[in-house]
Amino acid sequence: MTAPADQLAPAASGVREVRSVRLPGGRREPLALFMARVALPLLLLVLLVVFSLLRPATFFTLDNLGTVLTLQAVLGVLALGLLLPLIVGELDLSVAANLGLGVILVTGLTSQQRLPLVVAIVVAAVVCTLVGVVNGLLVTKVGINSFIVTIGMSTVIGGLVSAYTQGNVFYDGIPPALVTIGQGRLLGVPLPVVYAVVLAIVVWYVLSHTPVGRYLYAIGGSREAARLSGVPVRGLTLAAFAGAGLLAGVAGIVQAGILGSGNPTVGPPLLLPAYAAAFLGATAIQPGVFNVWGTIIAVVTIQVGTTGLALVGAPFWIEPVFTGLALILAVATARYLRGEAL
Amino acid sequence: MISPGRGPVPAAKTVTAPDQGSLPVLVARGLTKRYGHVTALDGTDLTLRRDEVLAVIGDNGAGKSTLIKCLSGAVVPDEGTIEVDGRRVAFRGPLDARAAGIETVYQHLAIAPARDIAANLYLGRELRRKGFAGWGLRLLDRKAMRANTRELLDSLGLLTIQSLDQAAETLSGGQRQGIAVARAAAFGSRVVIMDEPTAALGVKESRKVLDLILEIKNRGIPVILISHDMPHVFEVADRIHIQRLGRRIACVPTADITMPEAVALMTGASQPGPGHTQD
Ligand SMILES: Nc1ncnc2c1ncn2[C@@H]1O[C@H](COP(=O)(O)OP(=O)(O)OP(=O)(O)O)[C@@H](O)[C@H]1O
Ligand SMILES: [Mg+2]
Repeated sequence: MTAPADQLAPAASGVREVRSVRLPGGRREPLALFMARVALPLLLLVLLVVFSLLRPATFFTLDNLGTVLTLQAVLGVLALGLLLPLIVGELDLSVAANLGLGVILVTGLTSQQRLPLVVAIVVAAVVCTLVGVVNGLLVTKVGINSFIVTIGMSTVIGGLVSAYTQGNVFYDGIPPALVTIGQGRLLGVPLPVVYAVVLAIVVWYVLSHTPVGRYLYAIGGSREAARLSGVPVRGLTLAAFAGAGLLAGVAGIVQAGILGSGNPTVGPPLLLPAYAAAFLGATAIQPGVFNVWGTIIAVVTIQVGTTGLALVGAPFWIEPVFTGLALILAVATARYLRGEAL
Repeated sequence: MISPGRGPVPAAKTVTAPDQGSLPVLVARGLTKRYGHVTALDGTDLTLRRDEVLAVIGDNGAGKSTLIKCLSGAVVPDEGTIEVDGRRVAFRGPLDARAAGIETVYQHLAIAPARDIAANLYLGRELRRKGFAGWGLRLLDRKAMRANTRELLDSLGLLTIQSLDQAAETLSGGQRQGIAVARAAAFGSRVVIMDEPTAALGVKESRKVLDLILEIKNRGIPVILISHDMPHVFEVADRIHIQRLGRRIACVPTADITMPEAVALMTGASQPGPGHTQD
């Protein structure tokens, strides 16, 4: 078989001809990679437009938007925390149970033990962070696989929450200030959304603009290479788990405020959505990399999709089907596009 | 070729106090390292003089990599001592050795796969912005790192890379090795160690690495070169350290030994004579 010389030439020079786009700043990148970057944001845009056209009176109202975003702000904060262990190449399956622990601590300590709200918040945040620290110590010092450690931790937390609540929901004696934390607004924007945005900016800054962020990604890429390059691998792995714990605690406190009650069942169901958001997010913006804005866009896209479907009268079971399919399709598409791009 | 004042070359702590003129830069005594039942190092010595290229040769498993890992802080020896410029040191990790001016190209390259070239070159010693943004907000100076990286790669002529943004995992083996070598050459201020730096390189690139080794030596920085390539060793080394079964069995000026003699010692086909061990 012979090939025309002009087809051989690019291969011979080591350069494959790919269509490319110019990015702001003059850098070029392959079209397929660029498409992978923007596919999820585009899907979000399409969903917004379609649902607004289908249900102009209800979907695109400020009220509805506020509800949509508030519902997902807690999940967003939880997923932000989850990013940290994922980036260093570890799993944390205890984040959702830890969130539930935060909910129960802040509502229980105020309503049952009559502690001041500030104290309850600090205790909840510290305990949830400590849960992360214990995870981190078991992984880095004892050397147990993080999957096992955090499954165990998640189960233990569930048990302790049951012991403390005795299966009850804390309704009475929840401080109004806690409810304000969860349901207040700042310049018309629901407070949970404000927290999520602020925390997203902080995590994004640390991950992409500081040496620590680079170290976390380097650890995830190759632990040994990071160690030989002088990165404090154990310390930062521990810190990643601690960060996941802290953010789970914060999410729990906010969730308690939104609900205005302490329900022992609210945490665990958020585990899979948080993972879905992180993995879906890793298909966008920086494809192949766990990243903050991809994760946030994923959280919003899932919620816009499911809310929109509900508004147009889709049956209730559409929601999990939509979420699951969106995740698998997005990852498959990103893989395909990246495979072509690289 | 390499511009020490600018670029990634940091203001090196060139400790060249005049009274240290003849003192060896690096002395290791009785280094021992065991992994379970395997004794990787069995009381090995090593002396690196000023202004020399010291080749370390030995069969597979002779303990060469383990030896240099002790010197670069990647492995903490069970026994033995290390002196840098006559001072006892105890490296607890790679950062300690690096702070002492020792840079290493590891046999299994310490390159972060998903990061780009500049990120890899600066991994563990990132440049931060000037002023509060740098020390307060820990803000990275990506522009400077990219610019320096480009300048360095251009000046070394070590590797042709299409895009600085390429993730290291997408580079060829030789290109990756080029980055590891460039990093050590740029940042090594007292000792540069290279563990088989030409193993994955083509003829042209190997040539460049050998030239670079000599150039680093001419800058006044001694080099430890581990290699299985005898012609390379005999071309650039001033002395040859022969490692066998976890020990140094001989250390000979290159001029005093022939290639077949070195290979015979290394493989155990002949025993070292009285003139063969000298620091
Ligand atoms: N992390 C480790 N765990 C267990 N054994 C090890 C470890 N590192 C090295 N060894 C053993 O120590 C011995 C020396 O290994 P080392 O890598 O230092 O050899 P080398 O001289 O560099 O060999 P090569 O020429 O193949 O690179 C070998 O027998 C090896 O199996
Ligand atoms: Mg080796």
